[in-house]
Amino acid sequence: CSKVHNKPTFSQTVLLKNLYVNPLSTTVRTPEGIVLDPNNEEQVQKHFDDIFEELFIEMEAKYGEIEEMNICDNLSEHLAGNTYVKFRYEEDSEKACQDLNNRWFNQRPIYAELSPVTDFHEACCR
Amino acid sequence: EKEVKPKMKYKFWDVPPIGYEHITPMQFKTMQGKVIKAPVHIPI
Repeated sequence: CSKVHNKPTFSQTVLLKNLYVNPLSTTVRTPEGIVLDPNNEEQVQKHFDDIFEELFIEMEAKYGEIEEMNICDNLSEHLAGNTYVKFRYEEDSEKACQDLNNRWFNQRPIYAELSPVTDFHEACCR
Repeated sequence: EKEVKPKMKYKFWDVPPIGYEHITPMQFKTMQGKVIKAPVHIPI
């Protein structure tokens, strides 16, 4: 993104950049080795739901209570697959941010940073 | 009594890219950074 985004020192929200790979933008293979058909809405939705569920369950169990989690499925380059996780407590998001930067997810490294976004209905790129 | 749910078996978490199982995600990101930055300095 060409806009200047401030990266806060403290925040409840962790941004996992480009975490979700949209089958509409590139060829996506499931962990079982099946190539997703981008025209098969049911298959694409199930893949998305599986990712959402795994992310949510592990992060809440390991780092702390999650208030809200959103995965962008739009195709614009700077937002593609961005995942926003809002924890209840800032100390949990800080811990999560540090730890997640040293973990793999779906055969890719996680790029985590704190994000100033707390109200997702009002969020827009400034 | 509290019901104990069996732990979910993950398909996505902590799965490295094939061929990079021996390095950490941090090391991988550093390597990627070098690959991506390299073409920027090509003299015109």
